[in-house]
Amino acid sequence: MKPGVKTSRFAAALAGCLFLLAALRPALAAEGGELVAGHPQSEALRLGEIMYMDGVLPSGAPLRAIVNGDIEIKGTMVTCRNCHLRSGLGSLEGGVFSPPTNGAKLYAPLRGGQDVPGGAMKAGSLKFTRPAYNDESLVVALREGIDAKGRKMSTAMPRYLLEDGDVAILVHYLKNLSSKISPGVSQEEIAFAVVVSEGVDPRDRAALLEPIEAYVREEWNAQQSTLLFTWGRAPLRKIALRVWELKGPPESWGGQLEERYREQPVFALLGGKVQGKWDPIHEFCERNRIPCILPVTDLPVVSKSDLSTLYFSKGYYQEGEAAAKFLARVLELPAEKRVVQVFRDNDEGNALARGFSETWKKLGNAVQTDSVLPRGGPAGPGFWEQLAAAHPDSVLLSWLGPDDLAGLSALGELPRRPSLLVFSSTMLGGRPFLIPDGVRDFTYITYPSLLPGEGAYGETIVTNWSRVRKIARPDAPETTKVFFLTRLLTRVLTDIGDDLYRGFFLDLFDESTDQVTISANYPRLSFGPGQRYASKGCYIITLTKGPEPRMVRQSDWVIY
Amino acid sequence: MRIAILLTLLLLLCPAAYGAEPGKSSPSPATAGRLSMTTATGAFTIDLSLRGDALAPGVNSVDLAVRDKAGKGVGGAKVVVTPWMPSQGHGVWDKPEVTEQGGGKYHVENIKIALEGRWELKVSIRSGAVEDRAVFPFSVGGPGAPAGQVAKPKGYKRAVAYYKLPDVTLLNQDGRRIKLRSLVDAGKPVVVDFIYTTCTTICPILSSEFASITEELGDKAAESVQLISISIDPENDRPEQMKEYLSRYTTGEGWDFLTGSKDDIGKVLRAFDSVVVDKMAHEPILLFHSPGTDEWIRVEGLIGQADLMREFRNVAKR
Repeated sequence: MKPGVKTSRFAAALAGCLFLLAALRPALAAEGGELVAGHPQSEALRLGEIMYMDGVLPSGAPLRAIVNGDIEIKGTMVTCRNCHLRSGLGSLEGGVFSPPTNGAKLYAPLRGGQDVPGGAMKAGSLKFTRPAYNDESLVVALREGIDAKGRKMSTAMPRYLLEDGDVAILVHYLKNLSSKISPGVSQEEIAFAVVVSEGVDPRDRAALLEPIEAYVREEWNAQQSTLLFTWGRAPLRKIALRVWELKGPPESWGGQLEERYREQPVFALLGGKVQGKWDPIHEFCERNRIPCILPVTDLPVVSKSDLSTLYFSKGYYQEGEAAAKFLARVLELPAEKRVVQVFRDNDEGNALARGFSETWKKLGNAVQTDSVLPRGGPAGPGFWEQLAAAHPDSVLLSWLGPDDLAGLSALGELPRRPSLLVFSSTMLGGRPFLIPDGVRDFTYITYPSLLPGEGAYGETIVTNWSRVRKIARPDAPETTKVFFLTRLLTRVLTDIGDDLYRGFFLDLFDESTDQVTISANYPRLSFGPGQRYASKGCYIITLTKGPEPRMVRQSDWVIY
Repeated sequence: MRIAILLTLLLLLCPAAYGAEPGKSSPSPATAGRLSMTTATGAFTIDLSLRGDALAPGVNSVDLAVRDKAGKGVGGAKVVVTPWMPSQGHGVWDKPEVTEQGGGKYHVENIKIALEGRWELKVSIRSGAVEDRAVFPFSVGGPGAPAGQVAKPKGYKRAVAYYKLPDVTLLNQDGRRIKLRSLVDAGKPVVVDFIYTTCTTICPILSSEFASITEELGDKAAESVQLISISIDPENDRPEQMKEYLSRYTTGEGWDFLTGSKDDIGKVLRAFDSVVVDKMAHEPILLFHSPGTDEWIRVEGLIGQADLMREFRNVAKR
């Protein structure tokens, strides 16, 4: 790189920072405790957030607006968040460009593509420049759809009918939305942490950390200088990667995470693996609004409203869900059919059982019977015979592991036995062939990933990538999943540029296109605003009999 | 640029079928007298004079004088005149009759004008290998209908289309299995769009358009229209999500949000010529369908309520 170029880029970065400071000034000046429309500022922010995210006024009534010239709508139909996204950094979809509406961008001019946050496509969609907004011109924009230069906006921008007090609250919210760069970012670096807990198998730990460290060292940090934008944006930052080790009981993890964060804040968490449930890390991230991207876990928090953690899938829960859908929608079991779940009282068993029962109920079926065994095992002699005698002709969901399979083979010979068995392949340690010949005729197995041979292309990519970087186990799920994460991360970090707001970071993952080839684990991974589980499916398979059994797919990837 | 090429192609292929407006040399709409226009590529100049004071609802006639670049009258040309109402996006069924009168003059009878409002007479001239066209705008009606009000430019593209629907069974927001063909052929006017529940930007607006149809129709909405939203993110859009999404826009019946296997949804999108490469790249499209026909009106772009209801009534009253 020529020194001259470097200097000018540095100057551009410096100018950007000064700009940002200038843009922040009004917000800082307002910090003196001045009331906003009669509300303390924190309350105004809370009320403004509800207006922006949900389209509801402080009075509890929906906002009102006109869209497409003459369509009257409620604010709940088209919210600010719908188009400008949670972070306010804007979007591009269906050829409609929604410019940024966060404080830092509104109160600064949009001079060209370099000021538009996000990828090149979006930057190229800016048709008009405009000067900085102030409080007054922003009110005009919201009410009349006229921008800071006096130009009429697209009719897709709703013209909101807002009283003075309400518009003041919304302006206050916008001014403070993504107005400060998030913690964990320095002039040169952006810091991420990988969480690993005690008790994770050292081989799995290596399979998790090796690829992500190699990515940072040999790929992003080595190449990021070549990924610079040419249009006057600041250089991309290097990644500083930290490993946060958790020790002791899971109840203490939250405190440990807070402490690590206080010592050295990070922008986001990447990947990670712990023994047991992911809940303590999930809650830490949710509490502090710290993004956590694609941890390797089958025990995530299954939530409809939480936003900070993006998971590969719902794990065990999703297998239970798929079993319920398969029985109800594919086999169309008669309503009077008895359904029994047997599982051990451990995290995995409970997650499978919950996934099944919640879905089963939602699909309008009678409550199933649960037979809960104590933690541990293995099951004693006669276990399967007793189970068979207790539940003849029922559907038996056996959410049990390899230790409990002894004696299962004999079930096929019994005169009175369940008519169907369902197992989870993950619960079987990823080894469905442990199911003995004698019961394969009436056994279904949930299989939440690509079938053998299906993901050859994704496997080749990750294998070749790993070989060059001397990664020990290219086929370990930790490695293939981390590899997938790094592919998305490159895209997101390139697009985010200098607009290092955590909300925008998450928005960019949300806006990623569906991924169909680069995962060696899943047929498809798809994203979208608020979607937090990228894998949407789970196969149901059966096994053929004989010494060389094969898996036979019995369902689509997604069961409706 | 691409749109311009497309439009040009459409104009060349079937001059009368599309409501595309010419970009050049449009004089302001005339109410009376003589008009002179050069055709789109400059091959001919056409003088148009009205018999009577102005175009009026009913049957009209006009005289045309066609000259070439040298100013010489063009005889023996094939002249086609098409009345067109751009705001309605339709013409009339009866064709005007053109009679050549010699010396480059042509008399046009049987120009039927159905309604008051803004009309166009599209004139296409073919003389030997040279073909060109001009569009004469008119304002039909009394002084109460000034051109500026009726001649609101359209922000959307409109075309007539024919689709053969696949025999697929999809799932609606209540978890019910719905045969798409049966839903479309249930005897009600149908409007179709393509959305997904976590969409940014255009889906909420498309759904607001649907909501404004149901609101406009009021109590009669459920019996007067079948709205169909087809998910383009079927793996994520399940009945539960779709029901929650719909609750933001409607409380009534008559609006089904359909999801299904990736394959089935793919078939539907292909049949409607609305394939999306990725859900982030989809375009705003509305498809209107009258019961008992195989014709669809395809509207591309975001559309206001007046236009929306006009398109809807257009298919509803057939």
